[in-house]
Amino acid sequence: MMLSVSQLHKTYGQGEAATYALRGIDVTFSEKEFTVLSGPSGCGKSTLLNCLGTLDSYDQGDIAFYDKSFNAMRSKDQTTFRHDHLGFIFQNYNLIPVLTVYENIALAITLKKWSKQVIHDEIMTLLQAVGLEDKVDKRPTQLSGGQQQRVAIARALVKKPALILADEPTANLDAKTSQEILDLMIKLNEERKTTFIFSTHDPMVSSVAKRIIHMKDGVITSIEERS
Amino acid sequence: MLVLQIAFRNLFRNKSRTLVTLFAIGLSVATYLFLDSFIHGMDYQAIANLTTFDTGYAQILSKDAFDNRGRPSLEDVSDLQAIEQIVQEAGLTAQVERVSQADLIFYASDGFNLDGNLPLEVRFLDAESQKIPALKSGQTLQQWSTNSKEEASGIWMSQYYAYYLGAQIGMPITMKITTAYGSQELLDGIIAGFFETDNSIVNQRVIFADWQHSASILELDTLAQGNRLTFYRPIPKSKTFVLPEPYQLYTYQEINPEFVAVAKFNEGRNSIFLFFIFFVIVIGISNTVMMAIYERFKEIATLRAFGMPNLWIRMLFFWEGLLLGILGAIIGVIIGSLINLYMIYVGLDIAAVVEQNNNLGYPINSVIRGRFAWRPILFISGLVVMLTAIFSFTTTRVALKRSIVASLHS
Repeated sequence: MMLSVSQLHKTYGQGEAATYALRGIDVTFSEKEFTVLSGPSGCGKSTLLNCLGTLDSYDQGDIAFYDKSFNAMRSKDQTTFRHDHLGFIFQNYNLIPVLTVYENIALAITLKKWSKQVIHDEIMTLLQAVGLEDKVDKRPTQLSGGQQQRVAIARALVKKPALILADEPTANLDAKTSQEILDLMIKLNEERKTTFIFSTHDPMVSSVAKRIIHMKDGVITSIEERS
Repeated sequence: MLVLQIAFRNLFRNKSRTLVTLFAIGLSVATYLFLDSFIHGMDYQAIANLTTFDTGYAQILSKDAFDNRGRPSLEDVSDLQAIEQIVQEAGLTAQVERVSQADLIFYASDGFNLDGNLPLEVRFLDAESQKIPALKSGQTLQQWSTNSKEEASGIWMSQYYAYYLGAQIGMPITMKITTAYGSQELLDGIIAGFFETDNSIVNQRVIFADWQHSASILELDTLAQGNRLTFYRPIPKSKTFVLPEPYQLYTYQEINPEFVAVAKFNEGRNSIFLFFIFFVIVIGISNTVMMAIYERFKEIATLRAFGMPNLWIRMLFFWEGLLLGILGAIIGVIIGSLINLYMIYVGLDIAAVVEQNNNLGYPINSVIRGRFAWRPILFISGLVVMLTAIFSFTTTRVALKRSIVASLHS
């Protein structure tokens, strides 16, 4: 099992103002999954996603990545874990505006000890996969929303992570572009065997997921498996 | 290196803000260089004025004369020739000087602008042969005279007094000299010439008279108030000589303790300038750095999400600060150097301040010229670059302490 979550609790605020974002979440994730965390706003799906990505802390429980407990990780260990094993795709793309498409992707692997040739080949392969090989020298401001999200996907994948966490990746895109992005991620999931976990309330995303984890009020209400 | 590329490009993300910050840094650097040049110029000029005329680099005085500088001394260097011979045998050159305090008396009826008297120092010298370093090209008084027949009974005063008194060559003038014994002697003469010098000490405090004439008329040979030997060139350490009691060699610093006190103050002035520079730089860049960091909370959080270590992110801002400091220092050095060129070749005219405030108690001229030096340029540039880089590095902590999730949603 790649990721296992056991009895995860997360609370915001204290006393009467406390908000129970996660209430005893138990769930596991395997390799090559294409899973959606689905539910209404405030159900805890983004909170769970952030905890899976060590972007946020939790109050009780544990998360383990191949039996390596998050509870045993210090801040520096979490940074290293994110660098080595995780990729993120954000709703607002979050590209670095002063860097070109090529440089934005290269940034994700700037600390890896790869040769220049290997880096170049990896980036160009991914740019071809996402259909942006002719945009290498463009800045994010020169790209459409869909193109920026493709760059974000390439950036997330370039370091060959075991897991990609995507928080509302299609929220700022139109339907056509959203479909294109989804198709791209499905294709990469199959080709690279990378696990994708989405947090979304976009039914289009849920429709292509292989597994849907339904959440409400901080608990998992049901898990829907699809073949 | 990608981190350097990001740092460099981020400088131009908000061009207006970067320009304002660069201007603030540049102005601080230029101000420091200007003030340093000005003060060094004043110091240099003061020392030059002292060593070329007033005290020279050193003087041979009796202990009593040293202790009672400015007042008559009965233990004066009376045997000037003997002392001069000792100095010459040591391979050195010193100028014999006879000095008295005098009141210069003049009358409007003789053509002056007003009746009055001026307390001045009169120096008796050989008008034909004795060269005066403070005058232009170290000329003799003879070379300043326009009426060669009258110079033997004349006095020479500066152009400064010619202007203020309306004095002209040939006008009668009287000197009331206080001798070493306290008696007063009157010496009548005429104005034989006007000398020109930038040395404010000479301009405002001194007149010259020919020694041979004065000595023969007034029998001043043993009554001159102050006799001494003055060295107008530095004395090499290898040259030594022994003086008979009660005579000693005194340096110009010992003779002018006020100057030494001011010079010591000048050594501490840098602290004041540095504090000023530091304050302006901190204010100037802190706003820029803080705004840049606040604007990039989300970007910093993205980098953290991708596993960039905190040190890497801090170094990103470190390089940005360093580049900002380097550019600001370059601008400041260019502006400061241009101002310095003006200071060196044209100078700053502070005549109104100097004249109204008695030279500010400092032997300077009315035009202060700057002094060029590499050391202050390197020092202030290095300080500016270091401050901006370190400040940028440390301020990043604000963003790194924030929750990644909160920053991503900012």
